Amino acid sequence: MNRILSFITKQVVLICALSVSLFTHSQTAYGLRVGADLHRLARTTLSDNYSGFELIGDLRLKKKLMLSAELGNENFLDQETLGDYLLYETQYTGSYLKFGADWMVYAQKTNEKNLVTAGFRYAVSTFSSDLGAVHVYDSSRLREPEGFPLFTQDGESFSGLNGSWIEGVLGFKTGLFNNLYLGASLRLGFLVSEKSPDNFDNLWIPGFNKVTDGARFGLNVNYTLSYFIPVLKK
Amino acid sequence: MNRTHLMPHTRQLLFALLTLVLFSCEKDDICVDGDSAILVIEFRDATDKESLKPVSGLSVLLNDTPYQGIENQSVSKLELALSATQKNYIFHFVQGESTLSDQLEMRVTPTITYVSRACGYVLEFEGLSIQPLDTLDWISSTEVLTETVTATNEPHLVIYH
Repeated sequence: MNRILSFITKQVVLICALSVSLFTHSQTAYGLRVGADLHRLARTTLSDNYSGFELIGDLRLKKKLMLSAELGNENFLDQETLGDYLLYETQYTGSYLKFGADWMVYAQKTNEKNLVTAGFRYAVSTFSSDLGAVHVYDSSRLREPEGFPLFTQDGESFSGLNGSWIEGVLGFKTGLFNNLYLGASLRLGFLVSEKSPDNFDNLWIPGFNKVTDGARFGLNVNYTLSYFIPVLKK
Repeated sequence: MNRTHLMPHTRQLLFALLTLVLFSCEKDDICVDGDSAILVIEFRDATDKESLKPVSGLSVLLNDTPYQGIENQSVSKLELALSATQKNYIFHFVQGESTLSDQLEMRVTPTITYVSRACGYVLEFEGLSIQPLDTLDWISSTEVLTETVTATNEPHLVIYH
């Protein structure tokens, strides 16, 4: 009798433990998240000098670890001015791929609908740049009393350019409803390598954003809307 | 349990990111690294080729108008800001109130050199050559010191008289 009671007690405890564990883990969904960047879409609509898009995806592998990737295409007309006058303008066109990992550094206890992640990416971009109007910098003001002398209306084109960088990512996500998530991330890139044209520089790189003279850091952001496809629930 | 707390490193990470954002200063808004070239011409003594000899009342005309206001000046050094697009010039170098006017044809190829984001391109010239179009009245000869004209105070061209 005692043995039977003991057996039943053990079974009940086990079942309780299992169900508790199942219940708590049911919120931890493993799966694939796919989405798009709203920031780039908004900028495409609002700016005459920009068009682009970015698709995002991440795969939750472990409780706190996910593999993440972004794929994008951007076109940007960079207009460099000095005072009120145009110096030169360059059309940048190209695509990029970023891949890496994110760790959950914070998750809301109850349902993990609010997440803070930190991670890194390795990114590559291939692009071309095309100079439009090129005015030359001239402090003498002898050639042109106002503005800068025009050298050409249609400057050189450079193709086959590329860049690679590593990116630190700080991300935030919040669950909306039905597995829809709204996210934002701030990214600080460090340019590792680049192929720049002769007699010009890469002043902007798709996916990396503005390249500053004498510094290898670049800053970019995204605001994403993503859908989570649960693959496995533990 | 699924509790994941704010890791102790998160604050440092946030701080580091913020610091990098704030201190990534840019020198991209002013041009300090270069300037477009100006042709520097020196006037020297035809007999003593090393010494400067000023021209009194010099006017430089292009298409019968003074080029960049060079009219009736007494100078031994002349600076001409050549155009970004023109390749051939026929200058009249007129001395004093006299009718001593010498025609010199100058050929040059404008080129651009990239400097930096803030400066963009500066104008330079290649293949500088000069030759008289007619018999010379007051100029005895000319000499090209450097065929490539960059922004410098050193003369590119010497006119002996």
